[in-house]
Amino acid sequence: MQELVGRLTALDPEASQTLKVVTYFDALVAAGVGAEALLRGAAALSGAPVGFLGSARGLRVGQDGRRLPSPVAPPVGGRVRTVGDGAVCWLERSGDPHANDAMVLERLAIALGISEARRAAGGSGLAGAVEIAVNPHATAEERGSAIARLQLDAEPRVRAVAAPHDAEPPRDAPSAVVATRHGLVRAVLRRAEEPGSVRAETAQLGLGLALPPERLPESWASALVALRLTDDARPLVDAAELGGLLLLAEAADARSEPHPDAVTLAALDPRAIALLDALAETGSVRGAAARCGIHHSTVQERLLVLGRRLGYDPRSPQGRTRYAVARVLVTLSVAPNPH
Amino acid sequence: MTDILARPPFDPELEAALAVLGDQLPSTITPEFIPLMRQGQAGPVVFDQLAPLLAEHDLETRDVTIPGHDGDEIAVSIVSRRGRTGVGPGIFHTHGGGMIVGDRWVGVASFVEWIARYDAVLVTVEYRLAPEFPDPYPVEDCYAGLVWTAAHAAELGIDPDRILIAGASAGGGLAAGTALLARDRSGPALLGQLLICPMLDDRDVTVSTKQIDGVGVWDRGSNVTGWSALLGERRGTAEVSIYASPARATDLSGLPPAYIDCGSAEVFRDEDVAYATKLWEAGVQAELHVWAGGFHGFDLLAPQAAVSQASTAARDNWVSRLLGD
Repeated sequence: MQELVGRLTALDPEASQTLKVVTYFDALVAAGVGAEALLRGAAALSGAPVGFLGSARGLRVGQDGRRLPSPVAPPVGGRVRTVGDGAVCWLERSGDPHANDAMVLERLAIALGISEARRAAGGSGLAGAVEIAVNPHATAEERGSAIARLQLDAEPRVRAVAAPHDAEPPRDAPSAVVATRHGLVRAVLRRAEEPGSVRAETAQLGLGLALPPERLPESWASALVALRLTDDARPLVDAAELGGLLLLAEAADARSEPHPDAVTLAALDPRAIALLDALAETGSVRGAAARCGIHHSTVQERLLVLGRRLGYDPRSPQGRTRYAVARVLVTLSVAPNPH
Repeated sequence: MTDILARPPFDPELEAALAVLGDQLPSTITPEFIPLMRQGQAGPVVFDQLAPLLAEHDLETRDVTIPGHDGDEIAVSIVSRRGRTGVGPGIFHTHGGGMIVGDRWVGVASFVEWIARYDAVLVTVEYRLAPEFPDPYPVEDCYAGLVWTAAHAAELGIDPDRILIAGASAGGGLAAGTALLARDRSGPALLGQLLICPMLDDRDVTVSTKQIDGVGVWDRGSNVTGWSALLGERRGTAEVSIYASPARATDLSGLPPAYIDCGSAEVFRDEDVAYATKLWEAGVQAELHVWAGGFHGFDLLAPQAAVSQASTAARDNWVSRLLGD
């Protein structure tokens, strides 16, 4: 009831509402809806007509969700975005653009790309097969036929690789943008013997475990964990090197609330975290002092204060482990794709 | 504790809208939320949102004070085309809000096109809310409003033989209860009853109430909150009248033709389906629509969704058969 929950109305023309836009399109993509439902969503959120023109068809939808006469070409001077393979989508805003227009259009374009790839997968497209191959909810039969279509069925071991959704798709391996609980991520499938070819890409990458093809969902899950552990200093993380951290990530994902240690740590300022990282990596107060360029007695004092906030002494062997685990939990809780 | 059963999945477009809006209020509304919810939608807020739509259709409103239950003063508002003369159909509206929140302007937006298209006069009643005014205040205030409307039909420009009673959610339950009162007291004749996802049963015993617990919109706990406010200790006992809880009526003969709709994933599904079935059994005309994957009030929450458009169109079609020339 509208009075109880509200109404899905056009977003604030002035203020950015990124989370709403992302949440809405992620839910539609996860449910596997078609192009028209995506356009209805974009039109409702933006409060303006939107359109889509692919090679085989065109669609236009008004802000009330009703279909408008089909387009023959995108409007001149409107906001237009490429969906892929020559297809485009646009937003028909008369007057000044609203704060969320660019975001709505970007998410619409990504979602349309996925939905069109899924449609094509009914024929010969490989993106749909990639999505089925890594989907833990697909039946063994569906997965088997997807793997065969990808010509990976004879491989002893394959790995899934996770990259940000806006990373350039590789030319030498099948890939698809997939909806995950942490947002949209590009899944790339590679033979285990060709890890070298994944290094070249500039984006962050999470390498999944090399496993028999029928265990691709497991490889994909590990690749997602690896991707979430990447940062500027470490753009490439291999799940095979994570050991028991994979179990930790799985356990953390199963909880609805973050662990208190992670909450406490995330609340510290970046300088404090940098100091604690330096302590963890160098293994000594002197080492941390040298790394951060602070006198070691000052470091000692700060660590005492920080220890009280954390509830444990990060200099003790036990505290060091506890800190390392909390640090990983914080990293895991951050979406891989904040932009 | 409570046994939650598997439920029909939400329609994907509706689920996406719920994901965006769901954080505005929890699925389960407990009594503590009543003041908060009333604060968020006091009269001026709802009316201010409605005003541009009224202006767009050249409709005007006026307020009248009438005698409610036991002769206490209550307000009704009349909505019709500006400068209207002559006689046309009447729409008597009982608003929604779980018996506990909302005012007479809640839901009126859904009727604006019909007022314009059929040159109708809408009367919407400010019945008093539970828990401050428990049963029978709400339904008796509604009935008093209907009696007043019929008695003043000539002055309002309403054809007394063409009065449609309509409401959504708690307003649907109140419309059904008012229609039962009109039948049993030989009150005003009704042309039809438009029951939009109506709240009909206080007993909390259906499969659908067990399925929608802690999810969606107006879940089992919210429904218990609403009925408890209305009925207090009497909820679920033999001390509840058929006018408060129309699902309890065993004889539905002699009622006006009904339109009933709901979603397949809402608490009210089973009681709404059962009410339609009982109307048919009693030889009364009824049209029933259960929309796949709809949660409570889905068409208002996400009007652009395909299933919402279908629901609105079906209602529109029924009204055109009832009121159209």
